[in-house]
Amino acid sequence: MYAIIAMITKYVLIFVIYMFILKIAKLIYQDIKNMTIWEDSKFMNPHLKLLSSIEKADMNAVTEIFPLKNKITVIGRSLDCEIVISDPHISSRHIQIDKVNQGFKVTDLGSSNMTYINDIKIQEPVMLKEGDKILLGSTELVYSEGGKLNE
Amino acid sequence: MSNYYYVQEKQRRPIVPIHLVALIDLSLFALLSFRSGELNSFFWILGATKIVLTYLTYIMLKKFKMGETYITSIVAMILSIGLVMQLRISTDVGFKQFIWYLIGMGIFVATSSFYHLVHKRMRSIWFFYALMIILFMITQIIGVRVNGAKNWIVLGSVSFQPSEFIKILFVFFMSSFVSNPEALRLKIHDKRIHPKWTLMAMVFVLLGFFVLQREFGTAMLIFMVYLAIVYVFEKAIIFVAINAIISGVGALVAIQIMPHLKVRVDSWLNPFADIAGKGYQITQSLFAIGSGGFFGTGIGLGYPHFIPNVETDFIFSAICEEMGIFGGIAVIVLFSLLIYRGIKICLGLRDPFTKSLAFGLITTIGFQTFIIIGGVIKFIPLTGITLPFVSYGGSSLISSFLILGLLQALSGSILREEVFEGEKIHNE
Repeated sequence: MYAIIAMITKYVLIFVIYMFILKIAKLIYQDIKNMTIWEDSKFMNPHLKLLSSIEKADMNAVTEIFPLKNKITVIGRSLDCEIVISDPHISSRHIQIDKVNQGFKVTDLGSSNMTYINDIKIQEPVMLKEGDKILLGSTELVYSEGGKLNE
Repeated sequence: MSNYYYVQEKQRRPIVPIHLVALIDLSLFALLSFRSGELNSFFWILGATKIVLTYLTYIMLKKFKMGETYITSIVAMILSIGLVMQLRISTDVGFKQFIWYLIGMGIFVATSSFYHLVHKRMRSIWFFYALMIILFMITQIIGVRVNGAKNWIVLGSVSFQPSEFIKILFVFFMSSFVSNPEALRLKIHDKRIHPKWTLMAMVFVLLGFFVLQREFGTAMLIFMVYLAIVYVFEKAIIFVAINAIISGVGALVAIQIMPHLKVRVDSWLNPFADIAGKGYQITQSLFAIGSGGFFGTGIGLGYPHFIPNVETDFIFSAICEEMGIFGGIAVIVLFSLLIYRGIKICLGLRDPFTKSLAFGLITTIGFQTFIIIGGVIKFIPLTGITLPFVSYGGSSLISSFLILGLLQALSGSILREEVFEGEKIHNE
């Protein structure tokens, strides 16, 4: 008697387990889709782009987007910074980006390896413009005003 | 404002998968109770407990915004299959496994709730290395040899495997290295040695200990996790290559020198040459997997007792026999989904320590699953490690739940950051 029930249920069991797998897969798909939309919205506002060192030659390959939402954004190796970059050549508190009326101002916080914007060492606070390349240690960040979706 | 709309859409999460877990639990435990003759209330109670716990954790995670619910749902499904198989094979062993499951759930809740309180403090690389060495020493001194591996510590009626916890400590150890390599920078005779060579030396010492205790499975696992973390986080590929080559050579030498390693490789290459002796385990496992067909024989209608160590190493073969190859593939796919979610958690983290922690933990689960399933289907030589959440074993379950709890805690930290971001954009 049990044998018959077990033999019938085995098909039901497999079916339900695969239903579960499909549901999870669908949720994952939706999650990825939402994530892409979320990522796109980061492009609309002012942000910094981090390029991976391998793909530097190809400007389209962006590793990460850091939106500049706060009034003060500190970038460095320390975990207290708003943007943490674990490059050994970056100081614990390397630069500070202030949101002012005219835009964004970059100040070097006395870093050991200096900060270079467009290959020029900055001695005093500098205003950022579209496409500026900020070099800290061996990491390069590109500033963008935002508003462009598919570059 | 269009950004606000996207935040809304992101928070819509259908609940359906968790109900399917409850349905599976209901069917499986009903089958078990039916099989034991009269409608035995023992299995009904166990089944009800499992369903209640699954729902409770789900509600807790959602209510307290403790991160995503996918990994717990996937593990709940894996556990359903695992617990029922253990109970089917032996009510005693299965019941003990169920008790460990309850303890494990408690550990999961505790870890995922409280990890964020301590995680900034536990980062010292020497602390983790020292802990691992101490555990090794204890095992070496008061350890008990079981099945050829001196890997068990017995305290009264409870026995546990320290290697299950050493593997977690190892991931913490590697993560401390990744986030702060300078801690390992040594100076010998005025020459500054790059930290990664110190790391390599320390890891090989660790592997040496495992080989000494004949724990080859865990040694292989630790090494694969080490290679994976080094490959991802270290810029110089040559370092990875050197490690791989040294260990490859070491393994080949070891196989020639140590007789029981040679036995494992021989019985992997041709188990049927010695079906009654060295190849007995593997051949029985292969026969079982083969007898299952596509949908299996049905729960309770197979012959798992022909396979030695069926509750621990060969549980996967028993699953394949009674739930068919589709059941076995389902288990593999479930673990793959779990690994995917783990990697996704890892990608969403900023801090290098937690990023490496998440990566190392999910890689541990992933490689462990691969090693044991691979060994059981004769894809690679058999090693004695457990299938997470499915194999019988208190230490195995506890360490798997610990890993799950840590991943959940990290997922929770991502969620809390994201919610904060969403609110900020909405308010601007």
